[in-house]
Amino acid sequence: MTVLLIGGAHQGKAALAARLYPNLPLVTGLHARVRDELDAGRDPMALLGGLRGCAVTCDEVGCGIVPMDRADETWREAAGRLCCALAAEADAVVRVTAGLPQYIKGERPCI
Amino acid sequence: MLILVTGGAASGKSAHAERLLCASAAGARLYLATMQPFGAAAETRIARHRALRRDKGFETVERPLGLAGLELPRRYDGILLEDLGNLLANELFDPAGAGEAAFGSTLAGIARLQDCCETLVVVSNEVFSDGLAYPPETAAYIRTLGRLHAALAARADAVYESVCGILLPLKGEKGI
Repeated sequence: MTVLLIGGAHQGKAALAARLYPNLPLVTGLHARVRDELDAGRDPMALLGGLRGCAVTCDEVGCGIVPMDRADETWREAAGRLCCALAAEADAVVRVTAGLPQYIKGERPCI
Repeated sequence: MLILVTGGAASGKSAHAERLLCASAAGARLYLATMQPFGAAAETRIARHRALRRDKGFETVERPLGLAGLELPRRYDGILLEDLGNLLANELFDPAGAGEAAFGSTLAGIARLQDCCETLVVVSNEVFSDGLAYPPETAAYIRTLGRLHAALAARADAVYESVCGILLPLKGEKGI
């Protein structure tokens, strides 16, 4: 299965992912990987295939003022679009606040 | 009917707003575009939104500010206002805008649109959580948009937040 965990920075997304989905490979900090791809001149959407079957954490970076810097704006857009695409495929999407999960798609596993 | 759809950048809010409008307004639909086509990023965004709307039967009117004085050629079943964040920025910062009276002017503009249609869907932006300090003008923009959201949500029939393309009902959930 594929799970996306989103939320603000430092909300305990990775720890929660490891606790709820111990059998899934964990991919942390998707927003930073998107930035790396853009900096390397690659399309971040190409990351999508490699995220299937994983628990993926990503900071919600789109809830601010449009950045003045064009590269920052492009990054914010690309992170948002990739999260939309991943969420559409994912079995579960979890919004994490203060280490607590809100399932906005799918259901919490029985642990 | 008034519906507010908010969300962060690239969160899928436009597509949801169009779907919501098409679901509740069967006939004549108007797309009221507020973005001024300044710069490559704006042009890219406008082109993307045009492609999204294609074949959905929208008339388009471009009006960056001053909606309270808007004269439309007819009455519509539905109007999609995209977006409130742009409209407020234009009212605050454009020399032709309302300036310090932007809050009231924007609310009056939305009331005007409601007079012209059965269902108004307003798209807006979650700009409140990047935790950065901004100059006073930008801080006033953020504060005023927050006040507008609260004022509109109080009178709206339904309010949604789009997160990663998932529509979260915040008020008055109806069939989505």
